[in-house]
Amino acid sequence: MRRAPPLPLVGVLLLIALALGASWVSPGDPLAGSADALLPPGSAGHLLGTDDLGRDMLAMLIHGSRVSLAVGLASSGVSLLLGVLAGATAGWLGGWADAVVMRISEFFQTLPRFVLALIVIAIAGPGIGKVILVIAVLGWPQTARVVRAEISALRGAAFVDAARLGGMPAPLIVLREVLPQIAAPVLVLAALDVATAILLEAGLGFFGLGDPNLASWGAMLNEAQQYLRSAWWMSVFPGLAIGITVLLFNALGDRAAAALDPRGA
Amino acid sequence: MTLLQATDLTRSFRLPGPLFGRPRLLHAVAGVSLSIAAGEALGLVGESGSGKTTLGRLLVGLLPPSSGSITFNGAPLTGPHRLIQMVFQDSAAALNPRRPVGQSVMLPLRWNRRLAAAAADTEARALFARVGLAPENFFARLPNALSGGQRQRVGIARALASSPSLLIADEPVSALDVSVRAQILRLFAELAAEHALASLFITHDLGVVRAVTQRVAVLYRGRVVELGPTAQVMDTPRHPYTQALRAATPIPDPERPRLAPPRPPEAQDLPGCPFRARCPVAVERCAIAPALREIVPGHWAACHLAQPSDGAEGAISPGSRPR
Amino acid sequence: MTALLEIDCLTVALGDGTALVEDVSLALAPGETLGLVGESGSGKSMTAHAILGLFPAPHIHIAAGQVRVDGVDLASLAPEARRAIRGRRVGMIFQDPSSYLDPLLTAGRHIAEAMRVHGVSDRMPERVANLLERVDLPASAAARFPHELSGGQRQRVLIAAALAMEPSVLVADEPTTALDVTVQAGILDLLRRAAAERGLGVLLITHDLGVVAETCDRVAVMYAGRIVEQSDARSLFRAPRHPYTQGLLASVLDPSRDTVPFAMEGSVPPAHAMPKGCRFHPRCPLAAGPCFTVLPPFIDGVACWHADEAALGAWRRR
Repeated sequence: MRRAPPLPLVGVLLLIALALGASWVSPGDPLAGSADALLPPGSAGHLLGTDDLGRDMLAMLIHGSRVSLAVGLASSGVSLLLGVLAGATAGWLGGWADAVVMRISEFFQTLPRFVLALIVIAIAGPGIGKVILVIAVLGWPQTARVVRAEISALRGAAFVDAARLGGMPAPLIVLREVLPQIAAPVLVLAALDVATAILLEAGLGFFGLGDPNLASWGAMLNEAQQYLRSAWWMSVFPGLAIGITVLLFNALGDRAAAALDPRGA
Repeated sequence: MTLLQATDLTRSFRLPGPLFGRPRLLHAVAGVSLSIAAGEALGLVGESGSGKTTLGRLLVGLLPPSSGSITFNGAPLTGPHRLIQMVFQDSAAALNPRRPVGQSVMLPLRWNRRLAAAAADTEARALFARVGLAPENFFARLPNALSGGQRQRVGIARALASSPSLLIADEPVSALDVSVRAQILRLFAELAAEHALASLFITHDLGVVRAVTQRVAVLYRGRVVELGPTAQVMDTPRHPYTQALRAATPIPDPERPRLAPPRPPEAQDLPGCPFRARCPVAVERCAIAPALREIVPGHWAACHLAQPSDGAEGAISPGSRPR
Repeated sequence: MTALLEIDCLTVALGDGTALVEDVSLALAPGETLGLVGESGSGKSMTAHAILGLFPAPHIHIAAGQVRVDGVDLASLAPEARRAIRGRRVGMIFQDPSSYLDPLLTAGRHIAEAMRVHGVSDRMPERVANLLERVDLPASAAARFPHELSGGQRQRVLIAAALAMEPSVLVADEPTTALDVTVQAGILDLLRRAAAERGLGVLLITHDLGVVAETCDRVAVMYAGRIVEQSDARSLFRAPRHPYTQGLLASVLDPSRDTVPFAMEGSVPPAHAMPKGCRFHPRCPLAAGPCFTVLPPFIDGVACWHADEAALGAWRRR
């Protein structure tokens, strides 16, 4: 029995469509200020109100989704790549290669991610590329550990032995025979990684370390601090946007885990 | 002509030992020498812990030995070889669960035989037909859509795809129902004759050994304790372990006298002969491990007490001790 | 003498009505060992589950028929009383002893628990020691944890626990399938002795005809959910009458004789795709006439339309 398309997937696809089509969907330029500062939601021409510089909240939210998704997807993609590479090497080779990779990954896991990201960006200066890279470098060990555990379990599987006897070279066995078996847990992790990365990016933006040339949800929250009491919409809407996006990716991960589980019907 | 020759093969595994001090070693295979002649079917019989699966993996090149050597066609064997193929016990685990079974059979055709995709496809379909699976029905199915017997047929087709000269089968029928088991064994016998294949049949089942092999090696605790022509080893076993095995194997004849069950295995082995702790006829001499010696021409046993006269004296030869 | 265990026209079905076991009748007398033989998909294990009212999935149920233990219909009992019968009147052992032993309980504790749930609590160490002796385990085994015991020893501990309340019936579902033959011989010997010395009725479920020949007084052969033949062990092995039984016996590989493996083509049909008529007809060399349309009745120990012809050897012409 196939269920209806899962809600989280629909939500995530909508979000991606929104980010891609931001220029068309958005009611205006997110960075264009106006004299109409701090208009409450429902004001004429500004559905969700305006901020302290008179910028349209809705336009900023829509454009901000680009930054959040770009950082989330790109950094999770890079960390996925690093994690699979490191994990597959450790799990397949075993022995000292395994020990070295695992010690390095443990080192990265002991680092407080957010603090480190904060320090690196503070030193290197803001920039979306740097943010993506920092989050990815801090995020790969988890994927690596899962991949390593799965691969070292599958390394002794009879169908892997059969592929060796069939003459397939080892790197291809890993790539074609083994890795597809572990797609499920890895993709689930990747979805969760996206959520974590979006939160991290928002956190950096909140501390003023986002890219100043881009509208981002974190940066919006940063500015909203001073107006918490007078203009609630400035903090509530970006907060909601972050919350919903993170929830969507988490839910997508969970649903993917259930759907990809070969034991499920 | 000797196809494969194993000399003094040993394989040890490190066991999780105490936190400090020396790790314990498990000698899964301890000094095994065997040869398989071209076209011959050799049986390898043993119970759990005998090392038969490890020995199979050593001989197929999937596992390097700790010491000793294997020569195949006169050259040292250092890893998997196109001409030595394997059929696995668990037919489900031996097939990639995400790949249609036809592709699993094409894999060795593409790599070992270097065939182009179209040629491999044609050849794989012919192999399906040969093992009794209509390719149009089965080629595109996933392993879990096949029965155990059908999956084992796919496993056999895949082994044949490399055009091997030696087939190593590790308990290929023990997971199958009685009626299906016979179908698969007949297929093995037919194919071996057709392709002049030598085979090594690893099993715990003496009935299977008798049905399909000409020679048999009995393995106990990683050592060959008896080796000889199958019918001779089954009918007049020379080693007390083989005798116990033979006596304990149920026979579908309720009128056969019921025999006393053999002693259960002990947790701790005594030094010397590996069977000493369970042996009903052990004597002082058995504290020194016996070497494999030729009791009658072509029939070897590793027992100090084995005699050329029929059956070992006083031991539990089949039927000799009714209760 | 009345039967200890009677199964009357038992039908076990899935939620959608697909029958897994159909119209099975068996009776077990004191001191008797009855073998229930079949390949996978024959319904032999499902019959065992029905005796205890324990099914592996919630939607499997007894659709018709009765199971009586010491003359009492289990269906007429409240769940509480039925639970009391399990263990007290009917003991059970399984293929894989490890999954029925708590890894954190010693063998002695496990056996003691089996008695405690039925209200026995006095003289425990003595009772446990006696039970261990009955299954040929040293008294020191009481202090061992499952991982410190071999597979055969674990099965002995489970037999001790199953016999703790002196049940009248022991249901043994493939009790030696996972064991080495040299270990199996000891367990079968133990079951034989329990039946002979204590008048225990043993229902032995197995796929192995050799095991049946070694242990059983009577045999029922199941195919595709139904009993196709039932008789005393000697006649069944000497002169099997159903073509399936004959095929099964011919497929057994006997290490004491040179044989060419005999192959019955085809396989057991799945429960949802049972052939019409005799369920064995697609594989049967004698199939003709009514075999294709009408289920053969179970008469005089065999369910075959061509029983007379089959008695001469159904597979001889091949």
